[in-house]
Amino acid sequence: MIGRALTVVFFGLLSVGAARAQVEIVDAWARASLPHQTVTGAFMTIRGGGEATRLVAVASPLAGAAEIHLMTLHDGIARMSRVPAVEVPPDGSLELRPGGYHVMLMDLKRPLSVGEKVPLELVFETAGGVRRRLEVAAEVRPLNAAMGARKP
Amino acid sequence: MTSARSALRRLVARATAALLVLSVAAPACPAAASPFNARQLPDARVHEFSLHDADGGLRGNDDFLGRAVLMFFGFTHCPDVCPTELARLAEVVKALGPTAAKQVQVVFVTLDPQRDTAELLHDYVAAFSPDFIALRGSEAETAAIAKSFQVFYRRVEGSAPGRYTLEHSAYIHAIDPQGRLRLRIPPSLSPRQIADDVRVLLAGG
Repeated sequence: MIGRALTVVFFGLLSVGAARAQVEIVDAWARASLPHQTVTGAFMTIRGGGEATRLVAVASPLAGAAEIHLMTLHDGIARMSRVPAVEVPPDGSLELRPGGYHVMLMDLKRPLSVGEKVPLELVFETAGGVRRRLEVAAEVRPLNAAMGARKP
Repeated sequence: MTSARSALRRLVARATAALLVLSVAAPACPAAASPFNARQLPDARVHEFSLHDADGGLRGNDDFLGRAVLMFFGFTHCPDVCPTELARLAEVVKALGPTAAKQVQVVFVTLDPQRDTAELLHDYVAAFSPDFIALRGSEAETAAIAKSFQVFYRRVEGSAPGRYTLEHSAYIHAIDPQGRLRLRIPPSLSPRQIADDVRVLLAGG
């Protein structure tokens, strides 16, 4: 899995702050979509950078809008809710995966095909208010990719 | 001395017998009596429905008699639960093996006929299995089948029109070869456990 820490592309600083947090994104993937299907989910593991950080915004050039959503399953009812931000544990990982937090890509500009890479931009904010932008390329996996599926 | 020993022997024999009765009786308690992993509905009965398939044809209960039906209610703009459950249903069919699989029909019923066109539904279920079928009704027909099957769903508005999502039951509904709704299968059951339940239904259980 560490060997597959392939999706980190580059860091970009939004604000000129000397934040030391180096959050890292690994194993980013998005579910393929069909023509006329205007939404899909994107998933990844976000590793903390030793400092309190929150994921506060997401975007993709292939989606008209992107939001952070939380899926919950309670008493057999699946619910989705938009969340403004999610904490990234400083010394742990935040998992964005089917059945939990995920990036919801909406108003897709075209269907996402298996194997292509979807550019995603994630904005993190430290406790001190320093914003950091991270770009990743999420690999598109089949529509039927199972929960927590990994690349074969 | 002898009588004391025989009294002790009798006591041991009685205690052993009591233990034996207990251990035999234990599996027969009501909670363990069901042959199913999923919850069996108390009243097994036919819930009539008639919805359109992807080709526009009407499909109802009678079309599936003689087969077990695994029915899931969802929508294609569901990023999470619906693809996961359909992928699990494909696993169930695989676990059943080729012979039993022929006696099972997986049916996806959309709760979002507004966005889920027949064409989209066709392509969507085909991504999981060429044998799955999708059914679609009008808003009123959808509400009616959901009510009949006791499937909860509710539209939740999103950050813009068209971005709405649905809260919905994530149970799989199992219908027996006589067309009776029998089981409500929770997402916690494994494909193997679901396949075992389907085998019981196919065997007339």
